[in-house]
Amino acid sequence: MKCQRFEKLLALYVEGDLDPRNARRLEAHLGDCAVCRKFAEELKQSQAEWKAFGHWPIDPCHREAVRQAVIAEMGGRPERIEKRRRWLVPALSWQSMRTVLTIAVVAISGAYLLRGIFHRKPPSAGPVPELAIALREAPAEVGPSQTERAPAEAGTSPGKTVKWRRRAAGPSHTPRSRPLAWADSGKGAHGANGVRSPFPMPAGESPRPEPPEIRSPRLDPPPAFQQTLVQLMTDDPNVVIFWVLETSGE
Amino acid sequence: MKISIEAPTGALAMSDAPTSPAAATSPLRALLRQAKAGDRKALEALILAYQDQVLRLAVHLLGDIEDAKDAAQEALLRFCRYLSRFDDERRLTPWLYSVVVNVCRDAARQKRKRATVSLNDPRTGGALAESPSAFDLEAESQRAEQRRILEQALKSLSEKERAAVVLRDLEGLPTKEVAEILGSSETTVRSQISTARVKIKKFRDRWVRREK
Repeated sequence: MKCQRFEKLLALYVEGDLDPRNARRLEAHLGDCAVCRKFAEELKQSQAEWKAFGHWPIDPCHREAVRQAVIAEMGGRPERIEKRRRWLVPALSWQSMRTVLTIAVVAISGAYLLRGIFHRKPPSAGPVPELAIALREAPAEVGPSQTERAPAEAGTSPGKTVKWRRRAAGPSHTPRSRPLAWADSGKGAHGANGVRSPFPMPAGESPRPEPPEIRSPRLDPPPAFQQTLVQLMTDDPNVVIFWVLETSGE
Repeated sequence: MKISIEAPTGALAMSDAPTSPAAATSPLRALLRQAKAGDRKALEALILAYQDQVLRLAVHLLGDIEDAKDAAQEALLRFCRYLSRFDDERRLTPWLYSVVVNVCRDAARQKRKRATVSLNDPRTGGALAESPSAFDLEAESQRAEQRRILEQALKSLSEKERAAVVLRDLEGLPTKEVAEILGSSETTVRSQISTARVKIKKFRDRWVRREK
């Protein structure tokens, strides 16, 4: 039906919700269309019933139930807040705060002491051996100077093969001021400082006199060649460079 | 709108008129200011003044008295909770209605799983439907039946159509305020109102034809 498009306009028109321009057009149509006039009348009747439905009284017991529930709920809130406050007040009292502070001080002191025990440094190993540093930092072309002959244990028989090993840092290492020389003793193979010479001395041959230079410790050379250890001090006191010079023949 | 309430201090007649110098000094405004200041008695008087409107609107929007009671209670609690944020220059009724609409919208979402009422089955029992007893008068029985039919017609509307037509036709709010409460444009609200009115009429016509 072509008048269906007027239904929604009529629904607004019967309650005065239609704008004046559309209302005038609709009124002109109603003058010509009996179907729409009938629809408008039924709509007015429906609206009257519908509006009367809105004023249907509500049972007072429902109203009272809602009001009592709301007021009871409102009354419950301050009580909950009061409970929270009752819990907070003893927590913030001076006695409880003093207990908490005491526990905190004891805990911090204990933690500090335990930290001192478990993080205590081992006893100092003495001065850092310069040779070890020198060996670690020496250039690669130094070659044999990167290693040192291992000190022999007391009682080792002379002529035994001495193994070459990389020297380990330790307190027994030769201190900085100690000359790195193998001084021949009467037994030949052991130096004056307890270091065994890798070059066994021939029998009946006296050791060579020490070089006059203090900075260049005297080595105990074999008759065939002579070894000289040169120690160079750098600006960095922890870095010392050694050279082992070997000269053979005359 | 005239509201008669029984305030703790006695009966009061208050008008919820739009903002105006006279309205600013009305008893309702004074009560509102006292309630915002923390006066418990004033707040209870406000609840008493508006509980009927709130419950009726909730019944119309939800169609179930028990759901409506829960929704009205929640709406009034929100009203009390957020009253301190309310601007005194605004009208209280639209703001309160918007609270009720939002609460009912949430409640309707929660019970969406329930069966919707079909237009073809107008006799499906509604929560507010009361079958007339044998002792009722005939006129009372007809009114109850008419009410039940209109409840069913209301249930056949969509959520937005129902809110718009209830606020406009049953609560008598102008279209502009309905649009503000629902957060829609006036054009949208007019369209929803006209669709709802036509649906209600057709629902009623079908019931009348069946009765004949």
